[in-house]
Amino acid sequence: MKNRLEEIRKLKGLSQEELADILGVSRQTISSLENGRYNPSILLAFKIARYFERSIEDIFIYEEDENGR
Amino acid sequence: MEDRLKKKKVKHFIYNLLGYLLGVIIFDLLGNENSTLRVLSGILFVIVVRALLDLYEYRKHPKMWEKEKQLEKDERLIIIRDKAAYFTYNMTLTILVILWFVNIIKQNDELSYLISGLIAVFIILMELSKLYWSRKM
Repeated sequence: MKNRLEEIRKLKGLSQEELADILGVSRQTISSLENGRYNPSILLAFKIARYFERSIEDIFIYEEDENGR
Repeated sequence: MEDRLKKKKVKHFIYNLLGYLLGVIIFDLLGNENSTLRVLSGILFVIVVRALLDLYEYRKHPKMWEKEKQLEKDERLIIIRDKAAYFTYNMTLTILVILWFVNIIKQNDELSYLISGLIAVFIILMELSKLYWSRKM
């Protein structure tokens, strides 16, 4: 799953550390999300979307061929 | 940030070294000469010293403790812990099965029974906890 988290975070002028503190996760989690190494739970995806006042689909891009991975 | 991380790593290295030396010195003072046990005593003291120093640091900086508590709920860390635990379980079981075979070949019946018991306990615990969590979720 691709995402625009890094782009949106930078638009808001936040560091990974700051975003991690806001969301209550580790900085490594933010880094892994941005690199696409880790897909968030629906709860974390909602938290991120709510914080940036965007829809989940606006931040996370679901790719059909990834289904089942 | 980088400097802080470097300082922390150096501090932890020094604490580890001090813990190890303390463990070895105390072991020597007790008059035992077994070299493997001396190394194990060093490692044990590293763990004890690190735990005590962590406790001291958390008391000194309560915010650090709060952050640590918060990170325990980090979903990625939970997944990592789960995977590590599952891997450790499989490895432990594999080692126990190998040990069981070795003891069967060596005809060491008592130890074979003990290891078979351990293997059974491991498998039963795993199945019971799977059942418990599948009912809870």
